[in-house]
Amino acid sequence: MTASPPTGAALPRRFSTRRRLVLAFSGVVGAMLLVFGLQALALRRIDRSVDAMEDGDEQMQLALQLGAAIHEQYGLQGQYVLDGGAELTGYEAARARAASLLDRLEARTHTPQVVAALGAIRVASAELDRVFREQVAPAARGVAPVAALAHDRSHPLVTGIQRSIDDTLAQLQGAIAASRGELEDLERALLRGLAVVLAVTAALLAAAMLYLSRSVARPLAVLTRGAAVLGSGDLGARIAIDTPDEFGALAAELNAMALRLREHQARLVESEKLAGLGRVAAGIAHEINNPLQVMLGYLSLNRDHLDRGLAGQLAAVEEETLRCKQIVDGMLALSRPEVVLARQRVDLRVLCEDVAERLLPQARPAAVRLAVSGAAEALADGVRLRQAVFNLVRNAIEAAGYEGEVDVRVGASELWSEISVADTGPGIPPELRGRLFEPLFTTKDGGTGLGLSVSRAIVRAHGGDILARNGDGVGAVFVLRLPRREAGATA
Amino acid sequence: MSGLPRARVLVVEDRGSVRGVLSAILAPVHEVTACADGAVALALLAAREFDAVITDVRLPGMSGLELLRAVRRHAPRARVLVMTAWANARDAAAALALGAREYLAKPVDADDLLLAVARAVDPLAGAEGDAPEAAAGQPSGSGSGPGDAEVEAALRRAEASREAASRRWLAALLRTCGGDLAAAAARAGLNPAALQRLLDRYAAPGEAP
Repeated sequence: MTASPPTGAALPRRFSTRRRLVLAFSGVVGAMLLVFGLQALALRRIDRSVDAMEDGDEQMQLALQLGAAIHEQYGLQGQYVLDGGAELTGYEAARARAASLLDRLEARTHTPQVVAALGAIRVASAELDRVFREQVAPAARGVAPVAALAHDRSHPLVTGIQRSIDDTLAQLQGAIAASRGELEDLERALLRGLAVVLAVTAALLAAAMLYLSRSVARPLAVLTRGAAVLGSGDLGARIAIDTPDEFGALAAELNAMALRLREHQARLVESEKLAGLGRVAAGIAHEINNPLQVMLGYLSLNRDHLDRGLAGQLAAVEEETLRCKQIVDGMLALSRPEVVLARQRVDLRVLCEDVAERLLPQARPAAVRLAVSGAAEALADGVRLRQAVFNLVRNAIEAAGYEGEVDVRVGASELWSEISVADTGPGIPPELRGRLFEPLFTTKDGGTGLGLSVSRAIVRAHGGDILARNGDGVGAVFVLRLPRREAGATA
Repeated sequence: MSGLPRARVLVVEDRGSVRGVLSAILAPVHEVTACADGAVALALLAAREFDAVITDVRLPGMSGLELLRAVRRHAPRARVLVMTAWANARDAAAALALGAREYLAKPVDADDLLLAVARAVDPLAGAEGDAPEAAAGQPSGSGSGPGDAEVEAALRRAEASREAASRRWLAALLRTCGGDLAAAAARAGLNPAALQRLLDRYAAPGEAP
């Protein structure tokens, strides 16, 4: 039987392995990108903290320089007094340097305490300069002791400035310490994050590998094993992958291929068997037909010279002699049915009606009703095809029994031209189903056991087949089908 | 016997029992000589004249087809009927192409054998112009020859034409004898019952085997 194999290609399949691979890899890549982004963010914060610390350091340097400049400025005021008001250029330079340092420091700082301290320094420094210019410098140019006294009196201003600078330094140091603490925290957090990221990445990679192994490597292994089993010749094996993806599709294709191969192999074996039988038949035909010639020759020679009783008996012998010839002919026909096809366009309805008419003498005594319906054409060897249809219809008449019915329907589907022969007989017993077409197998008293096997060999030689099944309810149905494709090819 | 003169028939068949039955069928009507191989047959043909030669294909020494070729060359007036136990399209086509009048597959019914011989030797048949070689394909002389399908088709055409020729011959026979069955039977060397059977068969061609 040639039930068309279920091919995987016919089923709608989602091709998701590629998507799966893309998903797994993009998952890993995405996780890595996220991790790198977080790392970059953390590094930027560390960078900012380091910048803040460096800035604090520079401000401390400036504050220390400012302290030194104020002290120098006060020292030069003293020098001016000692020198009796010689010149002011050294002092002016020191004052300008202190003012410039104060400006730079003020420009860089944002801490309110430091800003306040710097404001105090600015006020005190202006006061120091004012006192020097208004009181100390004129006195120095006149009365030295008065000048010295005035200079001493402005010393607390310097001390105040120094205190403010110390405050500023303390503030800055605090800020630097805070930044350092923050930096250390960040570094610790970064290390922790790194450890977590490493663990998560490793887990992700492992998960991706597991996922790919499950969804790619495992079905691949199953496919490889299955292909190896099929390759070893076990065409009955089936690759068990039913997933709706490429692997499922490939497995289905391989399974379908194995099924087709198996059918093909079965046909080859069968045709080889038939050919073998044919060779044997050819060998024994000569040995059997000669004795049959002697028997038939004498029987037919004497049939007109016998009394009625003996004539009847010898007619039966003659009939069986001819059956022997039919068996040998049938076996010979099995050996190479394909080389004797002379194809032409055949009207299947006409052919069936012709066969039915010729079988009427057999149908009438048993009151079997014969009906032919439908229409179709085929490109076939009319003589051979007629022989096959004749066998099917004759079998059906015999199976239908007294007052039975035989329904011959001719029709065509997209692929096949079909003749179905249905009878109202007992149907096909399940245990005989597999042996129906076996050469020399028969259940009938007068059967040769070659009718169906010869018929099928003929139809198969046409590229068609004969299928047998039981009817709905009663009887058996034999469907003879011929491919339409070849009919169209030579139109 | 108002009909044909007894025909001189040579039966060439190696198997004694088959030779016996063929002789038994033909002897009441014709003058039968039988031998077992082609060499003896050729010697007999050289010694006297025969109207028909019935030969098996498979013979010891010279084959039936070789004998056929020799007869066509040395005794062209003898009609040759080839018989074989293994009906084989290629042999049949070859035999018909070589000029055999009939190709008969064993086992052959007595009626059919007598009809075949009667047709072969009866001038009526010649008038009908039913030489089977016209229908049989001419196999080419080369080794490969025509395809099996071609041979089979040619043989089928030859068989159909033989059937038609038999029908025509029987009709002509009846016409010649003015519809008298007994006279026709006598002329054909058949008994009336046998002729009636043949008429029945050829009037309504038999079903497929």
